[in-house]
Order: sequence, then C-alpha cells, then structure tokens
Amino acid sequence: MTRYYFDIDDGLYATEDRDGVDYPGLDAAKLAAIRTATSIACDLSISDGARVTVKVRNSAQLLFEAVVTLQLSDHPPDSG
Amino acid sequence: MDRTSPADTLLKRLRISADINEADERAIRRLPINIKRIGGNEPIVSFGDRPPACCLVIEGFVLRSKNVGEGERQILAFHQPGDIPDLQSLYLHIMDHDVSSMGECVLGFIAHGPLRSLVRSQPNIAEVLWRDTLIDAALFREWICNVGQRSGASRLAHLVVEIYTRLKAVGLVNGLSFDFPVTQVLLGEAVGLSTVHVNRVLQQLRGEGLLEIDRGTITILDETRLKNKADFDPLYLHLNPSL
Repeated sequence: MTRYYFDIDDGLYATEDRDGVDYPGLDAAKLAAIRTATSIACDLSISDGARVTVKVRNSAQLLFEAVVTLQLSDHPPDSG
Repeated sequence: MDRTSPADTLLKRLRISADINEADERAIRRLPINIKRIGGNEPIVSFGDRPPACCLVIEGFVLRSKNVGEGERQILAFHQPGDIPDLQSLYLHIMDHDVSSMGECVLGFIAHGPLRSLVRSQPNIAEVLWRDTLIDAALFREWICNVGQRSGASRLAHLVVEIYTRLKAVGLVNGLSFDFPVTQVLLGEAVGLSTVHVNRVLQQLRGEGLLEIDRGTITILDETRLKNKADFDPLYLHLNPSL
C-alpha cells in the first residue's frame, strides 16, 4: 500500500490533504481521484460553470491531476 | 456488563420505542443468552449462512453490509448496544447480507428456538419486535434518501446526527461527544462517497465549526447548524412509544 494525498479545489473551496489515503497502487489512486472529482462536481451549482481539480501527490512529489469541467452553454437562437 | 445483565441492555433499548409490561419483562429475562466477546472487524454472520441464533449487541458496535460487484462494499446499517442486527434470521433463514463487528464487541447470542417460543407465548413482545423491525425499515428508507438525494456534506452530517440521536436515546453520549469506532473508509462505504471525498467533507465540516472526528470519538460542535446541514428530522426514528 502507498499513501497518496489528494488536494482538491472546486473553485469555491480548496482543501489540502494532510492525512492521505492508502491505495494499492497508482491505478487505484487514479480511480479514486476520478470518482472524487465527479462526485464533488455533482454537488456543485453549475450556473456559471465550474471546475474541480484533484491534485494527487505522494510524500515526495506531485504525481497527476484529475480535472472535471462543467460547462453550461446556452444554445444560440435558431436564425433560420 | 458488570451490573447490568444482557437482558437489561435489550429491555432498555426496546422501551425507547415500545411499551413493555412486567410479564413481558419476566419472559425476556428468562431468555438464555450466550455471551461472546469478539475482536474488531470480524464477521459475525455472513451472506449465505443459516445462523441458529440472533445476536444482541451488548457492548460496542456492529455493521451490516453487502458486497457489490468486485470488491465494493455498501454499508447498510450501524448497530449499537441493545440492537439485534440479524433479528430477521428468525424468519428469513438464509442471510442475504453480512454482519460484522466494528471495534471490539460483547455480543449475546439468543437461539432461535427460545426466541420463537417467546414471540408465540407473548403476543405483546411479537408486536414490540415487529415495531422494531418496522423502525429498522424506516431507517433504511432514510438511508436511501441520504445516498440518493443529499450532497456529500449533508450525507455525512445526516449520518452523524442519526448515530448521535440513537445513542443519546440509550444514554451513550457524553454531552455532544460519543465514542464510535468509525474510519473514513467506513464512512465512505456508508454514504456512497470515496474515502478521499469523505476526507474533504470532514475537513469542510470541521472548518465550518460543525463537527470533529478524532480517533473513534465524534464531537458535534454546533448541533443546530449540523442538523440544518443534515436536513434532519428525527420522526423516522420513532423514538416515542406513544406515537
């Protein structure tokens, strides 16, 4: 098991992970980052769009980041 | 355990949500209860088992869970002293989920035979246990609402307020603090969030001055605001026997 630290920013609230979570390897940590980013995105109001960034590091360095971008675009009025 | 008998634990718990007369109490006290102490994180009964007895939680905490897909687990319920988490095995003979200990526990096993005789000879006890089973179902309905509709922060807040309210009813809280041997992994499995998401939400709730979890002790810092965050209404716990 390796300890990974997940720093998360959803634009409104940023958390720095001091505890860390143990996962068997990088793939499991990536899956956790994706699930976390999408479930945090589910709780957001997207009226202006939103971006959830999960930066994952071990005790030494930044390893990867998962980003979920929510974008709400009004469709242009039909000109035809 | 010292001065109170296992039957006392059960009676105290049942009296919170139902009326029990003296004849019922005598009959419950005559039940043979086989006491066992088990370690943390150990199976008590598992999916597919045909248990010969129901298990009364005397000390400590127990959880019910179901394995889903490959290696995922959903926690279905947490149980506290006085609960009989596998009461259903009296009538549903094959377990459809798992029951396991959280921390170290003292359990009282009540064989199905004497329990069935009790229910048949004391109709009031049958009604009390039926009511208890219905309350169990009410908790499951609330948990469905929790994992299906609430935000991450509300889910965790709701779970904590529920556990606090149920423990307070049997006198197992110390002010706004209570012992509950939960980990972030278990919390995630109970509310359908990743451990990482739980970690973040707990930081957020602590930062907002709502609650704090430290090595098996949960402290509510602001009860009113936590209940608001949780969207909590205690009606579903049916803690008043006259209602």
